[in-house]
This record gives sequence, structure tokens and C-alpha cells, in this order.
Amino acid sequence: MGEYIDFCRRLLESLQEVAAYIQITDENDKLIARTWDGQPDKVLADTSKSILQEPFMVLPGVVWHIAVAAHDNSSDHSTILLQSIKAALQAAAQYISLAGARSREELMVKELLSPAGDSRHDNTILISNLKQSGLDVTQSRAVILLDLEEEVNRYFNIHLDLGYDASSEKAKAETIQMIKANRHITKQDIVASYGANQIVIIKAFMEITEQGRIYRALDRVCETILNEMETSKIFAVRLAYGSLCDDFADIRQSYQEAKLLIQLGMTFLGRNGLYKYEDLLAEYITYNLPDRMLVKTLRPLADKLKQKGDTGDEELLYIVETYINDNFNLTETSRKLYLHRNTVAGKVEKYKKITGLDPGERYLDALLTKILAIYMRLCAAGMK
Amino acid sequence: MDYRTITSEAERNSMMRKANLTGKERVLAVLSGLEVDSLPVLNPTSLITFENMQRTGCHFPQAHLDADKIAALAATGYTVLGFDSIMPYFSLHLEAAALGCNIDWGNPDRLPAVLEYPLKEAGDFKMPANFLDRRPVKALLTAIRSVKQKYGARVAIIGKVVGPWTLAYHLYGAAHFLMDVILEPAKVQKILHDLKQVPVMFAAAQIEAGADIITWCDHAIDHLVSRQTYQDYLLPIHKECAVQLGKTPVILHVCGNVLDRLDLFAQTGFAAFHLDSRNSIPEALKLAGKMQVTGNLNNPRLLLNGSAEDVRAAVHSVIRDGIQLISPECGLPIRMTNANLIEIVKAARMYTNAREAL
Repeated sequence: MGEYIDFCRRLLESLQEVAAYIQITDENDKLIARTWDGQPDKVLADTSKSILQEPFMVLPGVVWHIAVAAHDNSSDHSTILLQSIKAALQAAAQYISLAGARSREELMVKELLSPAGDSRHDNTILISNLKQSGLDVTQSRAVILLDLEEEVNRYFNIHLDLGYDASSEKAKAETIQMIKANRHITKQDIVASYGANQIVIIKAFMEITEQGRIYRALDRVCETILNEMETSKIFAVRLAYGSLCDDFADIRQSYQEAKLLIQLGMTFLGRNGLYKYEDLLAEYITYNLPDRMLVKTLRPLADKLKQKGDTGDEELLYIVETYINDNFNLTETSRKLYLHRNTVAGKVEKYKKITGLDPGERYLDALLTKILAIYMRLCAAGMK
Repeated sequence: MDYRTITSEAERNSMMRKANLTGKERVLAVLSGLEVDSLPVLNPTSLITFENMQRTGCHFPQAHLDADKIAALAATGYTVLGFDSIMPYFSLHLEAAALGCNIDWGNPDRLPAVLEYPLKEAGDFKMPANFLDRRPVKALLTAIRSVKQKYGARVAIIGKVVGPWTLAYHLYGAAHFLMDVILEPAKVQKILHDLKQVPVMFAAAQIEAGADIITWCDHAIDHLVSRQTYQDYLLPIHKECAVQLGKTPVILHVCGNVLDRLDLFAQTGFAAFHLDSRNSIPEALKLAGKMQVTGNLNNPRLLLNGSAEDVRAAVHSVIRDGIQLISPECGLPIRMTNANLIEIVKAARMYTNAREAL
């Protein structure tokens, strides 16, 4: 609003030489700007003056007034002047509102995703701002996170800078507009840029009893966004979403979950696109294991493999993990890894001796081996 | 004389401006794109105030289902407030009730609400053979006949129907239906295809009973539905229904900010659009093209809490911005006083007189 008030004042300053008294007041009749100094009320109280007054919309539901009285008392002059000023004020209101819309959403997202201890994080003010923006704060919401990577142009095996960096901000803004135009995105959803290479969608849903349908709907929404973005070829995209939350205070948690899924997807799935929770279930659980499980069980097992594994811990573990994934079928594992069947059997035996785990015989040992393999990859990726 | 038989638009407009028209003729003329001697004031949605309930002794909830009470209460829009129209459908729930929804009919201060959604699957809907004889529907049709007989020569009788989208909210539950839009597009198509016969049949019956105009409420609002969804699912149905309703002018009512989809509404073939105050009139008129635009007078801030001067200024402002059919933006808050509503009519007449004086 401050920017708009400044505009009103500057506009009337520039009209001070015009032969008319012009005044702008807000919805509470408070003076915003006028073209003359001194004895202001005397001018408006002068009954000999023909004063034209008209309302104009600053924001939806917020109406201010312009009053114009031409020095020569000509109603024609006053009308022309009044209509011209009204047109300028309405155009400016629209422009400032449009320009502000993007930054408003960005600020909103920044507020919602800032850590709880952050001084900026005042929930009452935040909720009030969200309501003022027309958002229904009672709806459940989940964060859909898009991690963008610019498609790099490589010709003849060298990296040519074709000037796309300069336009990446524009491309990102266009991507946001494309997402906002998606068939499943409504005005209850917040879409904004976050950080250098992320776009956050805070997707709203009306309450239904079957929450599973909402998560299936989130899959569908992500898939349609991904399809549209893949056709644009501007960015390589990785998408994930977090849990549904009933409270805006939990939005950050939903964002963190989505962010973690993207990190895990990049590490384990080796592709771009949509990373679903169920595709990364074991990885997600392993990442979130309590510390006591790490220090008491996983790290000692990893240490044993490092100390005694003459072919390298990762390779041995990889063979055993494949054997588990193949439903303990030695033939299938040997075929897949181009190893002799007896070699695979020997590696499994060796693993049993080193770790004390017998994945072929005990379910919990198989589960622990799988978790150990994921844990080692998380460590190698610097995530643990 | 039927002014529409005169072929030259300029000649027609000139005659219309000189003629001493009734309120009804003015409303219908503007809806046909003609200029008139005095700008009409109408209500595409409910105009009922508690004050008028007290005055007539007809209160909600009885006045939703009792034909005599409906007619008496609706008539106050003309007899007390001086509007150029009478609109006797005060809620959005008559069709839903007739189709088996359990409705809380509210009280004098509270409008009805659906308590339970009776349908789940697409095939669950069956059009009852006696739909037009079911109590809520029959009461409205009887009320329309009654107001038509008493006031039909002077004012426009406006009927109202709930479109298939809003009807789906009532019958399936808005949250479930909107989830189906994402997950089961074929189901949504089938539901809309089945439900569209309800408003068409009800509108035809209201026209037969005496309605000059139909308000078509379909809440494809921007907070629930994207432009693309409206375009894919509802626009084809609106186009089809507009053709089926023939020459009777239809006013489409969708609440909220509609500037991102008003150009699509303009393609429906409906005669006019009922505009919420959150929209800029110049922008709306640009997008609406030949479709007339009515409304935009803010209910809570202006009509409920504003002064007579505010109302006057706002009416003159919407006229100057290009609105030819003066009306409040939506169904009124029941506790609104009559004074500001009467002021709308006075302000519109005052504007006309001032224009004529020039």
C-alpha cells in the first residue's frame, strides 16, 4: 500500500500547476494527497465551488475517493480531470498489485518455510496475512517441491555458454506462470520461487475422510505438472511432495519431507522426475532411523566390513543386497552380476562370517542387511 | 410494439431512449443490447431482508417452501424497494432438496445448508419422473405464476436454477466432487452430463410459469476450480444448455474474481454475467464482449455498512464504468436494511435524470 500512496502523492504533486483543487482520501476519509497547501477545508467547504467526487477501487473491497473542483468552476473541466486521474489511479493500482503478487507469494512462502525459532516467524501475523490474501486457512495443505536444473547445451563435447543464464530468471517466472495455469492449481494454492533453483507449491485440499485419495490426487497433480514442464525443455525437474498438514505451522515440515525425498531420489533412483515416497520407502526409513540404531548396530557392522572385507566392503554388500532383492535366488543373482553361482554363494558365506548376519535364513538379518546397504550409500553421498 | 423488429440498431436505440418503458421492458431491452431511457435496477440473486420478512410476516425457513410466502416476500423487491425485477428463489437448495438431499432449512437469519450428500458413484443419479411436482420445485413454480400474474406486466420476473457443477457439490459433496475432478475425470463428465438435465428442465418450467429471465448459478469459482477445468468440463455444457433455453435471457452467476475466465463465460451464449465486486468493471467489460455485465455493488462494505452517499457514489461509478444493468453483487446479507437498497434505485434514476438534463 505504501508504494501506492507514494504514487498518489507524486501524481498530485505533478498536477499542482493544473487549475483545479484535487484531493484523494482513503476509505476512512483520511487524506492521502491534495494539490494545494493551507486552509484545505475552506476550499472544500466553499459552496460556490462545484466539487465532483468519485470512488475508485484500490484493492478488491477497498474504495477511496477523488474530489476535483476546477478553479473556473467548469464541470466539464472537472469531469475530464476527474476521469483522467481515476483512470491513472486504477491503472497504477492494477500494476502495483500485479507486480506485488509475485513478490507477495514469495514472501509468504519464505515466512512459511522459515524455521520455527526464526524471529520472523510470528504465527498470528502470518495467519492474518494469509487470510487477507483470501486463503482459507482451515484447508489441509501439502508442499510440492520442484528442484530445477537448467538443461545445459553441449556441442562437440564442450560446454558452450549460449547466454541462457541471463534468461534463467525469466524462464523460472514463466515456469511459475505455467504451473499457475495448470488445470489442478486454484487460487487457494500458493506457487512461488524459493531459493535459487526451487519452486514451491503449497497445494490446498478440502477436507475429506479418505486421506489416501488426497495423496493419490497429489501424485496426479505432480504428474500433470511434470508433463507440462518436460515439454518445455527449459529445466530438468525433480519433484516430490511432503505430508498433508492441517496447520500452516506444519508447512515447513511438509517442505522438509519433500526436500529429503528429492535428495534421496537423486542418490538412489538415478533419474529425474517425480520421486514418490513409496519408491523410496526403505531409503526414507533408513535416513530417519534413530541415532541409537546407527551407533549401536549399523556403524559397528559397517566397521566390520571395512576391516575384514578384502574385496572392498561396498562390493561384498552389493552382492548380498542383490541376492536379497532376487528373493535369495543364487542363480538369478549370478546371472545379473555376471558372476559364477559358486562365487555368489561364497560371498554370502563370507558376509555371514564377517557380520554374523544370515540373511538367507533370518528375515530380520535380511532387513538389517538391506538397511546397512542403504546406510552405506547415504554415507558415501554425504547424507549421513 | 416489438422494438426488436426494427432493423436499424441506431433507430431502435433512439426509439428505446424516447419511449416511456416499464421496468420489465428496460431490463429485457438492455439484455438484448439496446439502450434505454432509464437504466434498470434488478436482482439476479436474492434480495430478501429481515426488514421485509417483518413487513410481510413471511419468514425463512417457511418462505423457502411455501408458495404464498415465497411470492409475498419476493414481491417486496418491487413493491417496497422499487427494483425492476422480482426473483423468488432465495437459496441454492431447492433442486438438491427435490433430489433427495437432507437439508437444514435454516432460520430467519441463516440460509439453508446441505446436511448429507446422498450420492457417491456416477451412476447413482436418477432423474425423478415427478421432479417438477416435488414440493420445493412446485412451490417455486407456483410462486412464479403468482408474481407473474400480479406484477408481470411491469417488472421482469427472474427465475433461478442451480447448474450441474453446483448441484454436484450438493449431491456428492464439494470436497469429494473436486477430488474426482483430479482423480476420475470420466466420472465427473458422466455426473455433469446426467445433472445438466435438472437445470434445463427446471428453467423451462420456470419460463413456462412466467419467468422472463433465468439466473444460472454454477460455482466454478477460482478458489476451487481452475480456468482449464471450467473450459474442459463446464463450458461445453453451458454452451449446450444456452442453446436449449432458446431466446430466454440467462444471467450466469459465479462468485469471486472471474477475470481469468470471463472470456470463457462470454462464449457460453448466456446473455449476461452477474459480477462480484472483486472484479474491475472496465476489465470485465473488455472480456465480456457482447455479453452484458450486471452487479459489482459490494454487499458487506457498501450496502450493509455504507451510507446513502456511498451507495449513490458507487451506483454512479459503476454506471460511468459501463454497467447498464444495476444490481447488488450477490445474494444479500439478510440483516441489510432496506434504506440502502432503495438508495440504489434512487441513485440509478437520479443518474438518468441528470443525463437527460444535459
